[in-house]
Amino acid sequence: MNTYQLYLLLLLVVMLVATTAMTMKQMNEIRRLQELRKRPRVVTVEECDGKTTTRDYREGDYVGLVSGQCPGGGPKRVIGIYAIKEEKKGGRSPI
Amino acid sequence: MTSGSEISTLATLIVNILWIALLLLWLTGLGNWIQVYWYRADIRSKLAILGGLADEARKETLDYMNRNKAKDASSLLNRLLDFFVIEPVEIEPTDIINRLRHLINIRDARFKDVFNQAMSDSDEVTRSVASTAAEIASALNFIYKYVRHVLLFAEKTKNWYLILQLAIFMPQIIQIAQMYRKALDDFLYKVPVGDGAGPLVALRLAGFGAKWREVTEDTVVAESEFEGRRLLIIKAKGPGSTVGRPGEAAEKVIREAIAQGRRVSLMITVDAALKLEGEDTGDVAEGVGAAIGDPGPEKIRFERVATEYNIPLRAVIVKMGMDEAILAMNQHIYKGVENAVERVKQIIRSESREGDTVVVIGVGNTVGVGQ
Repeated sequence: MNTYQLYLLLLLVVMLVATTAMTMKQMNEIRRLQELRKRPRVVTVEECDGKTTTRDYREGDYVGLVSGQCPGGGPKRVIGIYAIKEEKKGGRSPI
Repeated sequence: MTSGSEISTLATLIVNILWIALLLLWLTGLGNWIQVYWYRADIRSKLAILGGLADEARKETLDYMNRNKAKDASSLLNRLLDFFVIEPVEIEPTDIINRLRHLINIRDARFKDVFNQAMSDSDEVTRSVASTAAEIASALNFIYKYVRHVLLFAEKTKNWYLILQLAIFMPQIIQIAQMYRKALDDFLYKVPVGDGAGPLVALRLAGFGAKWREVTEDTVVAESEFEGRRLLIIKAKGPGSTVGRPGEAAEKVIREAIAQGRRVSLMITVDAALKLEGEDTGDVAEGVGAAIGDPGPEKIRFERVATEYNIPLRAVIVKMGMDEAILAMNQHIYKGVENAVERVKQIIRSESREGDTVVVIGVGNTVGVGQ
């Protein structure tokens, strides 16, 4: 391989690396925008006769809502609503 | 066909030209110009993303308003997108809090009135959510317009350093805008947000069967008993999207209690607070002072009434990120709420006596948290 070919090769490698980096950056931005449209799973916590159960959130639910009647006759009440946040892989930061 | 030595000479020549070109770029400042050109292109592509987010937010808010039979929704939203509040004069500090409170109250009343008129067939919760959605759409619109302004101004004045500065901040600005956009969906979905930790703690302390009464606009109070103490629990009126007027309510409730001859021995404010990077979401901490993130008028009322009657003012916070405060409450914050309830009980036990009256204020947006 002569000097000219070596420079040409170097130039090609640099261009390849730059193109890959820019494509990855662009893909990352697209992925982030897609994540924006992803909704987390939201659950409703209900209490009935001292026991708590969870179910999927339904529109109209709010904390404090009487959502039905318990077998014992008391009110079944929504005591909490929360979204299940997906944990990122890799665990805690070592810092 | 050229020989090997000729190719080598050509390559050396090209390399030399490249070096000279680099030197000229550096000496003439042309290199900076190229750099700025790339920055500008990057800012413009991100500005398009910001514009897209602002448009989406406007469209979603409009859809929500139309679904709920708002009258003339489009022109109403256009008016609100550019709505502003001019801050009071600061060089004359006398009465600045009253002036600021007056302006904030006018702003809130305007938003409330326009939605009451435009969505008269909808319930209060739907109207409050529409109002919050309009505020988020307005914030996104402002971010887009402000970034565009800085870019165009920098280009007009040939201020490359302004472009450089903007390019550095763009990733952070995009993150904030994306966070607002996501928050809009959660508000329209009417689920409790992270900032609802305070009202949820208040509700848990009062118990689900408690009797609530509206003490001031959009703010309710309930009385309950805890180990021989009378608790006066204040929160914003849910499950609509509002933060109420907790300072005003606390002041009123304390004055009423003292007028009835009760001994108010403790005030506890509970709120969501920003965590430091590296801290865990949902961690609970306590301190002294008023835990509230308002611009001042409500916070100062807590401080003034506590000082006037010499009531210890304690604060309990549930830590979370800035994004988590306005997005749907997650399981860590929910767990934090349960811990905060226990922490408040612990403080009441150790810092008040049986027969005392304790005022607990759950501060924050109460969307999805009723009474």
